[in-house]
Amino acid sequence: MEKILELKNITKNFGNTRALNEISFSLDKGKIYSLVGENGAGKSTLAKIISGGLKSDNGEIYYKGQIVINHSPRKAKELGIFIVHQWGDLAPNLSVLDNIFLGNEERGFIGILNRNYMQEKAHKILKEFDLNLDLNLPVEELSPAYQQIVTITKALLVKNEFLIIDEGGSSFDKKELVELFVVLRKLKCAGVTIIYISHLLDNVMELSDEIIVLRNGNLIKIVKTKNITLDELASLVISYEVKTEVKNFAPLKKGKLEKLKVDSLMWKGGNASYSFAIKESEILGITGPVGSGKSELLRTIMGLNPKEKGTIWINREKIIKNSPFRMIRKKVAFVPESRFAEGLVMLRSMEENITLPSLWQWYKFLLNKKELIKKSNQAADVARIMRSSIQDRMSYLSGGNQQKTVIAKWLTSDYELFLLDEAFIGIDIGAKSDIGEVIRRLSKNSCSIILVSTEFTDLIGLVHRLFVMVNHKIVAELQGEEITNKNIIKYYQSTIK
Amino acid sequence: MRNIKNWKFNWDKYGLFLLLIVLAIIVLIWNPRVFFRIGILSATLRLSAVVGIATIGEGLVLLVRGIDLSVGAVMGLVSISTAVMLNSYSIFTTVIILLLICCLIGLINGLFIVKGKIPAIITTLGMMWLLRGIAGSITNGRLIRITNKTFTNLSGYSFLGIIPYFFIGLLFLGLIVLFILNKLSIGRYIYAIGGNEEAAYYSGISVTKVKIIVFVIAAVMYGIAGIFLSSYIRSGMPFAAQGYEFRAITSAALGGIALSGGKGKLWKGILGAIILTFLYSFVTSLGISPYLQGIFEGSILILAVYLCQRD
Repeated sequence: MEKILELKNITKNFGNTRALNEISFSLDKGKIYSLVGENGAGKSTLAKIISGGLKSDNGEIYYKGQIVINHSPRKAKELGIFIVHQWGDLAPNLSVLDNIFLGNEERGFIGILNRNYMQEKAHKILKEFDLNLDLNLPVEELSPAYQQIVTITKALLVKNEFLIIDEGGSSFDKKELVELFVVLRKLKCAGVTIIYISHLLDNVMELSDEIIVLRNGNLIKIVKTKNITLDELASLVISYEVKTEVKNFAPLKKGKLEKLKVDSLMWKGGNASYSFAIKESEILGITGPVGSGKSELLRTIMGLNPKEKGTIWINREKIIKNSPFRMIRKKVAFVPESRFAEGLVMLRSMEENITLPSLWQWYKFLLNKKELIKKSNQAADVARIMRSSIQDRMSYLSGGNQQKTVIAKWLTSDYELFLLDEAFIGIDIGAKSDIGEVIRRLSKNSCSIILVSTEFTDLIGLVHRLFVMVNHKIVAELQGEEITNKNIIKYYQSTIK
Repeated sequence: MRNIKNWKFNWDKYGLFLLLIVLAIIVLIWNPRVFFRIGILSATLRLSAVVGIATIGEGLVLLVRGIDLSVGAVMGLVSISTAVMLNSYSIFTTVIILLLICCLIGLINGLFIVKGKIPAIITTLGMMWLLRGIAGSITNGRLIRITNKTFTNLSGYSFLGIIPYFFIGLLFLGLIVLFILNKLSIGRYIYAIGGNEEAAYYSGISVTKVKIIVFVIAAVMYGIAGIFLSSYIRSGMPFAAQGYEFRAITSAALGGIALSGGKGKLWKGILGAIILTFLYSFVTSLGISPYLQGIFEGSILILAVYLCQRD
């Protein structure tokens, strides 16, 4: 077999964290490889290093036997290495043809686009790889799977022989996934080498020839798919450190009152309804792949997504109309997924941000600045925010401290129900454990918390109960001791059946 | 030594004052006698009150990340209406009715922008044309002289003979709005909405209500500016105050109020208006053709935004 890519001792550090540790392996031409591992195992770091988006601290890359020096995205393009991102870089309003040629348009006389030529060339590629695409359809009318196929076709335009597909199909349904896999196999037959990155292990088992397993930045093994079972693969992927954390867990006492009840709730345009309740002091986790609907569920409760039908009770009181304005006045706190877009006013001070949602309940007319500073300092202390002054502009703080600030907004007053959407996103381990502490303390003070997170490892040891959500359905409800990595992964598997 | 090397001029903070000093020096060298005659000085202060009050309104709108092009048109409508109404009503009634009409205009602006989701620039552009149309059709485009002496004399009174009461009116309105911005919840909501509307909404702020209130206050400010202007020019003109939206935006920009919303201090915008009026009156005193003045005004706006709005 001809070798196409060889890595030698690739090491990458981010600050004090070792993201990749002496990774060495070689890949054969014309095979489909899968790259698997938990969140933070180093999958995307490795992908970026291969595609030139990141420089390794140490080690060498050989492509077709030649050493690659000064690697960069441009260099990768010259070599024929292409990375397809989870959310492809497509312009939704443009046609398939325009998207395929975006940035590589064929120009004729005085820059006029040569549509006929482009059409012909696109047809040739589609025929060569036996793909089926309507070139004139706007991309937004295609299914997610076909959108990804458009991105892949774009890659084929310039004779790419090495494709990296990042989290391909993690939000697809079974039919779409089959469509994508068929295309990938055709590419393989045409001699293209593929690295397919996913955390959905049964997809990986179905698709790939060989599987590369990473754990905590180390290469654990490269195995032939036919020599391994799904369970064996799962135990290779999981790191065992996580289990120790379960000890912190304080079980929920019996006889608590119901804080929130949701009955056959459905959001506008949704296809499933949800009924569940959460008690005082309870921490409920909801996990599932990107696009599984967990975020929408939370936002519908808060009134951020319009409601199709269903009823919401808070403290046994029926909520007639829900909006952030009304829900906050019912003592519901909401931490949105994106702190930049929805959580914080970056231009303003930390004090202003923390006190923003609660001003209405403290002051009817004049604000008391001194009192506001005191209140916000207290909340910032509880959330353990590192700061030189509470009056500092938000944009000067680190990501972890910004995320803590979004939570501190709700610690100044007696909020009772906390809805947290991806509260652990993009922050380091220290900040994660601080936020975990805050959540435990809230629970001790009889607050109820719903934690939505794609990274379920963050929820283990913290939540009393866990919903696994897949394709807009709650496929499992795990209690206490059942909440383990292995169990969750098992239900993630049911995704596509 | 390192400090000196890294020292960069902070336009955001001191740009205005620098401009003021440079202006004073130029004037002193050029023609000190003409410019510093009390008459011209008070006239300029009087005019800067009109521009300043309009800037308060525009500044508030810019802070919530909006823009209002209906400034001059509201002033024009108020101007001609004042002249017409003073023939049959008292000053008090006229002012109250006109300010109520301004509230209505602001409300319509706000509703279309917030509820109708039409961009502010389009809504207020339409409103500008519409109001000019109404103002013009009231007298078929003719100018009406204001005969009410009490009203026209208002603009003449000065504190200690130097500082016109109009200017004190500007300071008074400025203080009220600064109080609202700095001491009340709604002030913080205004800055929060301008900085990140989504985050404000997610924090339980009624973005709709706050924005509509801002457009209403703004329109009332233009109305007051329009009344001051009519007293000053002693007549009602449907096409008065042409280009005041331009002056208000320039003043706000000079004062460092971010056109992208959520950033800036209103008092600096008012100071910007005063400086701008002095610049205008200086250029006029040089006897430069009004067409050339356009070149000067346009350059100032672009320069102001370029220099004062970098972070």
